[in-house]
Amino acid sequence: MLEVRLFATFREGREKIIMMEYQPGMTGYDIITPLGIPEEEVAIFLINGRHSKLHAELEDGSVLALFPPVGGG
Amino acid sequence: MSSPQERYKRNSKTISLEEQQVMAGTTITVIGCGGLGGFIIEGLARSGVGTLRLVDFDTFDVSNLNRQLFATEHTIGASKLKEAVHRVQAVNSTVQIEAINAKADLDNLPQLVQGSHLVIDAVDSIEVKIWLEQICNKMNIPLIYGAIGGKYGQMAVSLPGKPVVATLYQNGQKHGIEKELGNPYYTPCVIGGMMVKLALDVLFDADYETGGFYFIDLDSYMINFISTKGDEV
Repeated sequence: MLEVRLFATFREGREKIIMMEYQPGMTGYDIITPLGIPEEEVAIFLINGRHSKLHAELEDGSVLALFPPVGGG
Repeated sequence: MSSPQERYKRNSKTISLEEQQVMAGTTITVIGCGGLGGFIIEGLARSGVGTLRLVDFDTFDVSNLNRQLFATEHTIGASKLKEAVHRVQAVNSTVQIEAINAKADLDNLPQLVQGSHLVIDAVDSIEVKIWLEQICNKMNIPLIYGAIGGKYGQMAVSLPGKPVVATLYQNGQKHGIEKELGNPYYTPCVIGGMMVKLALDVLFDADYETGGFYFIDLDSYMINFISTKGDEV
């Protein structure tokens, strides 16, 4: 299983934490696509607390975190 | 004029006399005198920072009234920089002020931050935030980064060799969620106040986290430190 933690506006209309079935070869794209989150809206993608790219391959049991960009001052 | 002991009496149990003296000898540069900047400048002036270097180029408009501390019905159209200077002078006349009317960019940032003990990012441009970190890291100056949008904010300490800001905007975004959501009063107020605390913690060499960022969700009253350790930027 994968644990997907959503932050800020990504929580709107979705759960804060979503469990997803792990399949070998999965990447971050296989997480955001079913959630309806466009790639360009993802500013931060963490795998087990490490900054990662969406195309990185996932491992079973990973905890993922997704954040939109926050840029105001 | 009151003595420092009287003025800072209500600091004394949370900020020691030694720390108060450290602050008095410190120059902090704040880039941006708007939403975050207003609350940060107010907080640093009241806390007793020795020298504040303030940078902005913009003027107040009506849509700033909901949240920007120095925006009033009398200051619409006025320079944000000038109003920030007036406010610091009114709050704490012992603070030395260096006011620079400039729009920060990659060319002028080295000059803007030169000689600062600490720099605070209160700009509303992702591009400038990234430049600011590059320059401060290169010039060996600690940076307090902050950004807000809607009911959310994030802040971090960026130190030379430990960049954070560059990792927070991976898809080359020019704007964040603030473009659609705007910012209500409480977001710059809370995050700006927390950035003052973080700045003082860095000055006093107190406990704070590095290698990631603080994420503040005011919708659910939650603060998390999100580690991004292991980054290759």
